[in-house]
Amino acid sequence: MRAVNLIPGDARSAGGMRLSLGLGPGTAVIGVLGAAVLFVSVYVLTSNTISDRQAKLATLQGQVTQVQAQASRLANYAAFVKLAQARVDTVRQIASSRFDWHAALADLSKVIPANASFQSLTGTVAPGAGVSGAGGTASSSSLRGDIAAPAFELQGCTQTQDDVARLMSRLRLINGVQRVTLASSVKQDGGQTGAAVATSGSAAAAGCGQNAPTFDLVVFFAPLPGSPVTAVPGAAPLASAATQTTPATQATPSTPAATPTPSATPSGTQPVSTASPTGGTK
Amino acid sequence: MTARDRKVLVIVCILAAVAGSWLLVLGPKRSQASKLGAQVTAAQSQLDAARAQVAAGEAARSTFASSYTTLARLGEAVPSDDNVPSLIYQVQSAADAARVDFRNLTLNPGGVAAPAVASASAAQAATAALPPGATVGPAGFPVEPFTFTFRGNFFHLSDFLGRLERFVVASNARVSVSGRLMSLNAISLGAGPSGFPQITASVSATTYLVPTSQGVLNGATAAGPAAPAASQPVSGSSSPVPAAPATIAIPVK
Repeated sequence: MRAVNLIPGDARSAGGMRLSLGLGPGTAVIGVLGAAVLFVSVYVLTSNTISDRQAKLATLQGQVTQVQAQASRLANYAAFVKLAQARVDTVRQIASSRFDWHAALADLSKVIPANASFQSLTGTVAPGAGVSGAGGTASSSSLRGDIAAPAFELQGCTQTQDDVARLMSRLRLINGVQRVTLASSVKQDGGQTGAAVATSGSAAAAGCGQNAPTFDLVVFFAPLPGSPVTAVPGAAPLASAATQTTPATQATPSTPAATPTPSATPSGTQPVSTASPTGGTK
Repeated sequence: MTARDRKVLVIVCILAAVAGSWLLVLGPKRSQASKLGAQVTAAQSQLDAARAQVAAGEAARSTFASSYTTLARLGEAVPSDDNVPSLIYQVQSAADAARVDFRNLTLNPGGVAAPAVASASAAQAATAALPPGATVGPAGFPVEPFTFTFRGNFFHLSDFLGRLERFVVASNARVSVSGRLMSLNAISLGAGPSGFPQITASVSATTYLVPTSQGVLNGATAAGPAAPAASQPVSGSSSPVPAAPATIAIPVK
């Protein structure tokens, strides 16, 4: 038996329409209303946020204006304190970068052997510095420019050439001395009768007597803070120089490195012997 | 148009209405809110920075008295003018204490090489306001080179040089001032007229001045600092003959 649909054709489709209408218009209206509520809610929330932020911004801008005015009134104090601190720092920098002449001279007086006398002493903090009308001899002045550090240029006399070597070894004992450079050690035919400037003993106060060597040397100290040590271009190499430089780190009082070459002394004078001074300590 | 088509059309219209209203109404609102948020954040940062400046200013105001005292005392070491009378007085006092004969004092104009400054015109302008013989030094302070001559024995002269340098003593924590700040650039010792042990010492020294644009106190008074535009040099330590130097310790902050 074949099944026959007794529902008319119109009724069949109307039944489908009813089914779709059950999900259609009512649902659409509810959806539209929901969307409208959501839209209005978002709009209101956004508007409220804008209002809050505008109010907060206005408050902040007022506070900024007020606080900036206060800060500008106090800025003079901050600038003044900064100026005071900067000036203290500058004064401290200048004061702490000075060479301690008193200590250097005191150390010098302690290490001079009894039989050594100085005719002149010139101390400079840098090669360019100097006292008008004063200065070392031509040889020591040329050596002085080789190292940009404080230095003493010493001229004087001793009893023997051994004493010159001993003096150089002892000069290296001065605190802060880096190099002791001998420019010359010469025995004059007529003897040395110049007045002494400073000596650690009274025996040499009247000079060094006949046939005593006169020396000319430079004592270099450690560079001052912030001043780089620069060697002058064209300075004679140590091996060929007519002087002998003795680094303080290489020599000890018992093993002096100061051995001037024969060319360092004029003809007719004796070369400095390689004596072993027994220089004491400070 | 079938029922299905009508349904699709309705849905499309609803979606178009939602999207259009979102773009045309809510979009600008949300953009405005976002911009305002950024402005609020920037204003908050500005406020924080201003408050930090105020805090620093308040701290500076609380230390103004000590800073004022420090600058006033440093004026003895680094005055605003050459103050040669006070320099002579201080050197003579040190020479007397060290039993050294103070013989000569000579100003050496141009004795100290002026360091590089911003420009030649700036250098001229800076030098024009300086005392005669002074040049602008490397630390920004004008400097005056002097040559002194003394006479005494070696140890007294050594003591005297120490006294000169101890006018200003700088340590890690303090700067003690009892006279002019002086750098001894060179010394020359030679036999005196009567021979050993008398020694004649020539000393090349540099004294320092504060920049003319600042003055000792930069225009400040005990009541408060001067306004920046009204900054004028002030001669804070211009008394020709100061009292006997007393050591003043300046704490360093």
